[in-house]
Amino acid sequence: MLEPGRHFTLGNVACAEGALRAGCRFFAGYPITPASEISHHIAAEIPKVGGYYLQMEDEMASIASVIGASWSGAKAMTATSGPGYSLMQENIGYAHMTETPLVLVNVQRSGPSTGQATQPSQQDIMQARYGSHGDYEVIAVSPWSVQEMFDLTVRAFNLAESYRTPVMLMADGMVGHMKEKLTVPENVDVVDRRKPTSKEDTPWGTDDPSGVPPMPAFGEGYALLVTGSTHRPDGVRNFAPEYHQMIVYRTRDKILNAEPKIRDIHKEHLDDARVAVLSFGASARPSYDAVVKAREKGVKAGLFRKRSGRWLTVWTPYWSSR
Amino acid sequence: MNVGKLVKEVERVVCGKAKVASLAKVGGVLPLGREVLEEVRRLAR
Repeated sequence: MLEPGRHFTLGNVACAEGALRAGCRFFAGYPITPASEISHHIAAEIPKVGGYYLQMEDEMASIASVIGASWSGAKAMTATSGPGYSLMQENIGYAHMTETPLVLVNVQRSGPSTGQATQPSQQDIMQARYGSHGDYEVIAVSPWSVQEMFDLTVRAFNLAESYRTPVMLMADGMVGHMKEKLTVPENVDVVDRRKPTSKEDTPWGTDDPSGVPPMPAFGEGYALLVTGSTHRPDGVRNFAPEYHQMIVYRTRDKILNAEPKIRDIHKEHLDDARVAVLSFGASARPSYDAVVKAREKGVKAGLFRKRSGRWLTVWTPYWSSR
Repeated sequence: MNVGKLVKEVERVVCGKAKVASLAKVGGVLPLGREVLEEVRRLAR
């Protein structure tokens, strides 16, 4: 791993470093441009900290093994780009239904289909919100720099563990393949998984106001049945409407209620802005440059960029407060 | 770097209280700062 201090490195390497420092000890993936450097770096480094890297046969197997690793007690991650992200959608739904914490990095490239395999884009933002079927809420983070590839990867793990949910890191090929300064801190704040404290705790039900149940792992003495079917708080499959409503509303509400804690908005010059530029990821960089230049020319412009939050509520919190 | 996927969401939230414009660009290239600046100045007029 990179030593604490300043480095000149790639966004994807910064992402991998952030994952390792956040406690990621399992990574499974399938190579795809422009995300492959994350796999390369983690494959080399994760064994040094006692973790495991698996090159899987495809993206479906990748996320499936990440889900399994998470239920085995490991903080786990995969990384892909648009086509692979499409393949993962069914298991993303499974991860939501089973409340499996994991981090899924999407270094977006141009599509549809193979598109421009080596060129960046931000074309998966709707897929991140609506890609899998059913009712679920998504937490995502959106980095605009190499430093944020590190910082927001750490944050993505912390959000995944805090709310027991998959978290999307929606990068783009521009940020992933960008080289610039990265400052690796001596220490990072890491959130660890909340475990059950008694056999009475159920893996999919809680009275805690957060709505987040404690999560046991296989091998810890709990009779675990992890199913994507509608289930009771103890995990046993049951299709009764009340159980489905219970799980769908609780898993939705735990994210909605936490929105103020999840949300992280980067605002520049918005207080007196007549024109607000709303942007994210790499596109926010020229947007910020334009805002600065507009101000120099006497135009009251501002920048709104969401770094993290409930995905696709990009604008509501700001505008509803105006 | 998409065809303006979020512009409808912005229009929905703004509820007609502000002009909304989309500066969309695809093809694997970023919008240029001067392109954003031109749009900002046009909207400010």
